[in-house]
Amino acid sequence: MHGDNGSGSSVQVAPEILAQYVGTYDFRWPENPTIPPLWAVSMTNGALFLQGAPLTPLSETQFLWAGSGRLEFVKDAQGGVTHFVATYAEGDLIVKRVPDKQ
Amino acid sequence: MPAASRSDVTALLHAWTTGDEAARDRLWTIVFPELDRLARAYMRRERPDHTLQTGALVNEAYVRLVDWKKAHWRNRAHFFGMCARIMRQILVDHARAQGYQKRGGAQRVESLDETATVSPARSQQLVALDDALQRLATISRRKSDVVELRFFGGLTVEETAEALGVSRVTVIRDWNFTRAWLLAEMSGKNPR
Repeated sequence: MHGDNGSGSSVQVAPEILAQYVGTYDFRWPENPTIPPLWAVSMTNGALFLQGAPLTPLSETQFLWAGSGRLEFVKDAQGGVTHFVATYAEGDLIVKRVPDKQ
Repeated sequence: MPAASRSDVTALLHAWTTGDEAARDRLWTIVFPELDRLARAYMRRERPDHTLQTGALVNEAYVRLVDWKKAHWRNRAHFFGMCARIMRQILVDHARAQGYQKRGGAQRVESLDETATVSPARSQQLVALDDALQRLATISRRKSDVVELRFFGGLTVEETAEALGVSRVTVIRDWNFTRAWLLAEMSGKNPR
């Protein structure tokens, strides 16, 4: 992953940017892809959470999950969030966003 | 444990595995201080008024350990990892017998760290963590083992890697990701 502040310390990110990441993501455990896969990114009082554990911003796109798991949100050319990349033992793990229901 | 004793432990473990009862007894004198350290580390995380005492935990762990006559101990780290697992199971059994169960709501768990003094601070959290670890084991046995050895066994990254036969980087990445997952899992919001 690239682009965080390098120190691993948290930074302030505007709520409207954080809100772009709110949604449902299709997380498949590589070891057991049959586990129900939907993970939720939510926002409460201006802070992001993944599955109920806090996401601490390291940059506008990079976060520390519950103080230890690193992940980075990725956008397409139109600025829509397409997935996040989690640092995993076997390498980076791509977790796709599930399109919002209209 | 002094470096000289490390090779002794491995040799004695192999001797014990092949049926040498004297090796088992000699092992006890060497590993007792380590078991005592582990037990004290566990009990520090428990309630001050916990009804199980450190000495009783060590003795119960040893009794369960010597029952594992057919265990194939790979090395010292593997042995102490199993000691940690046994001690955790004793405490969880004890907590369940005392009537502690994971409640329906979220557990207030703020950190999982190999040097944690915050959690699991209470038997209820220990039971919740045990439940979460059992679920994790159905997903990835290795990740569950990493948490067990690091958090409960107090093993270093290097010792954990040695015990599991994986690289140091794998242990670090498993540890970082899995700690976060466990905290989310114990918050009650992960899908089952």
